[in-house]
Amino acid sequence: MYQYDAYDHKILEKRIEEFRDQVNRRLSGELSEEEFKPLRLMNGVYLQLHAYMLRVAIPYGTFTSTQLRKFAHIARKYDRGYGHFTTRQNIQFNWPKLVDIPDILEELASVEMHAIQTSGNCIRNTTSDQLAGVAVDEVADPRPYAEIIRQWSTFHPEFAYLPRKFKIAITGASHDRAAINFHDIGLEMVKNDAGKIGFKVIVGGGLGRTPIIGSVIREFLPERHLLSYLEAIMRAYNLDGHRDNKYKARIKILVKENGIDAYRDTVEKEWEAIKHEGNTDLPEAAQQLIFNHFTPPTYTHRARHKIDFEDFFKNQQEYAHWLSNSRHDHKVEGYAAVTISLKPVGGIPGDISADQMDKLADLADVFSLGEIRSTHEQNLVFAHVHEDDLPALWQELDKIGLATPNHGLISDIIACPGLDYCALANARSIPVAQQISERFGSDERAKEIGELKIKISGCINACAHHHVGHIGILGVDKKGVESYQLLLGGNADENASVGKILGPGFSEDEIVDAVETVVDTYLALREDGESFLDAYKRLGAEPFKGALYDAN
Amino acid sequence: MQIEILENLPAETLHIANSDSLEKICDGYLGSNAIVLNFPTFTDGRAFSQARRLRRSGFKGELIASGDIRSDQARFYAQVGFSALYFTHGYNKKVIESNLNRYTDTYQNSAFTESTVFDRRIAKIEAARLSGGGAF
Amino acid sequence: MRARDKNQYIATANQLHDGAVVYFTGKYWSQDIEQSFVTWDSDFLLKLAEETIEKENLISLEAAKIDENDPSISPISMREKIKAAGPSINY
Repeated sequence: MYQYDAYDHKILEKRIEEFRDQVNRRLSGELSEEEFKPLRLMNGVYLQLHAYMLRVAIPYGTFTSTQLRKFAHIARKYDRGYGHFTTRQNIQFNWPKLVDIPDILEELASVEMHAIQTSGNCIRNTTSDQLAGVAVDEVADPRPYAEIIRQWSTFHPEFAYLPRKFKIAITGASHDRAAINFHDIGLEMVKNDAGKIGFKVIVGGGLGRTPIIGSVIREFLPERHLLSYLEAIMRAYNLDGHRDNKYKARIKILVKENGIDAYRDTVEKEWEAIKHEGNTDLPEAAQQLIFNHFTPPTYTHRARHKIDFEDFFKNQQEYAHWLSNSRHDHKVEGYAAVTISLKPVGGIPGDISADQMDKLADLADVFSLGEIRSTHEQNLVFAHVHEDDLPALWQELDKIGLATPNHGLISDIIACPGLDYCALANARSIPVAQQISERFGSDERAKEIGELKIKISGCINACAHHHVGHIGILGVDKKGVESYQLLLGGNADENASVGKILGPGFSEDEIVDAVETVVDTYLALREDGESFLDAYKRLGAEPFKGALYDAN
Repeated sequence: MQIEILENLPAETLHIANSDSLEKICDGYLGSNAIVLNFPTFTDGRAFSQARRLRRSGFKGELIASGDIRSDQARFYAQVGFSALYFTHGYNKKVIESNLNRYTDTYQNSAFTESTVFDRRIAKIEAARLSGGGAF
Repeated sequence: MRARDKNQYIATANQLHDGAVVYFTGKYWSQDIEQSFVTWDSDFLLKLAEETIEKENLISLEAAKIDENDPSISPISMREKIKAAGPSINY
């Protein structure tokens, strides 16, 4: 894992000093809110309905037990005893006071964390595959490159005020767990015919008001040119992106309007000029220094943690169920990666209490080399667990309410904070997620339904990726009343597709029944072993529409 | 980092709108003594990229940021190659000074030939190697 | 146009230093919604409230429609209800 050197530490220290000064100038009235707002946003501080929210960056979703304990401490001391993992692998605190935020940033800096560029119209946290470095289907570990992007984009002077926010995702695996087709830039590590590592570069994907699957701008970018190419894309976007209309300002609209070929021409021309200038791509030695932080661990560890055999044999079916959806194959024989669901039945997707954080940090030390990953589906991952330790880990997770066996199943729902917190939302997301998860709370039923991804956004901004849910739910405001639209057939992985709205929306009381109708329709019509998504592809929307609307 | 604060614009300054296209900017302007790039609002960052390109193209004259420029962004202006700020409204000289001097290390190359954090890391290791691991 | 707008309004804002929700009483600001100044004229309300915002260190001034049939002051929209009472969920 990357560890800060003196330069990284100093830059962070200076940033906190600067932000503290900005907060003080705001509190004294020297800065107006109009002047201060972009400054605070650039540091991840939003104003929600009842309080400020602080979004802390978790670079490419990898963090340590020490950092998790610090989150727990912050949650207790400055917030209300919990944190919320987001769809961009970050963590949010929902109740910090503005006056405390400089102190919180100092706490974070002490464990090499920050909130830099977690909001604002700048380059945000680069997200990645939660199985990076251990996935069996991986060309190479994408995280060193994500760290290079993190450093290059931190306080990039030219790209601090882009037309709109900018999100990059990177994966090294062929199965896309990072939704790279729906990012402003998606990077997939590939090998060319000569066996050289490079990137397939995808540009102009996104969700929000206008969901668009990204286009390939370059099939193979040699890895040493990553930064020069990114800089060319960014510069062309910074100069040509829409500035007059917020809803047309993302790079996806620019690419769509010009066409990918014209946009590629602009970018490639700029890229040639940058390469000629020759000071953007990292010198090999500098790149190597970053790579040194990501050498794979030596896999000799085993927890040999005590197992309660009586409990284990009594509940072994439950264990088998958990194992079947939470365990992932590992590059190294004898080891596994494990998803830790943050979706307890009836719970709030992505939320975790300070006590759970502390205990989970201890478990990470015992079972997984003290390292934790966050996923864009709002779950956590232990990436280095010895197979023999799985029963003990399961028992320990169960003790702290973190062994819900629903990863990838119907109750593993992505939901944005929605109207319960967010000032932009039109409808609540969390209560709908809770009700659906309760309705399908039985393990048996969830297992029978199989893989099914539900994603619920409380407004058109699509923070919960409803367009790419197998079942997507979009909350809207219908004359002052919350209403929920259903979308079917979205998919965020390498077979990317955008879901289609089925028909008129449903009220809060109707939406869970509507989801159940969709699920029942699928169960009645599916062929052997057919997933929801496959059945939908074969059947189309009609049978679902019929079941939902014809009866009325 | 350094940037001058101008009380008046120099005579014969060339004004370039921030909506002028990439290609148009670079030709013919390079011989000017001074060019003004405009920030219609401080959150409209197009002129940052224009400045970067003008410097790359070899523009050696005074490059002036104007419009809705802000004291808290001073170092960003300096980094991309502006040599001067021309405020048409109030500014805080103390904030500008501390903003320019606060960060001595940056991850990005600038329009001038300062070394980046990446360069400095290599230099440090090289120095340690030459001195036999710092055993002086 | 305004004469036809039969809705009653209150004004809300957030405290700069901690983000907490406060209500305009006509003179000062209170965390108690029941002390809100109620009027049909939302433009007038916002103008009056606006004058105090900077001095009182407040941000995000908004007008909220309230239910005139309710004897206590209760906002109509879910957004304003949640803003007044906190998240609707047990977090």
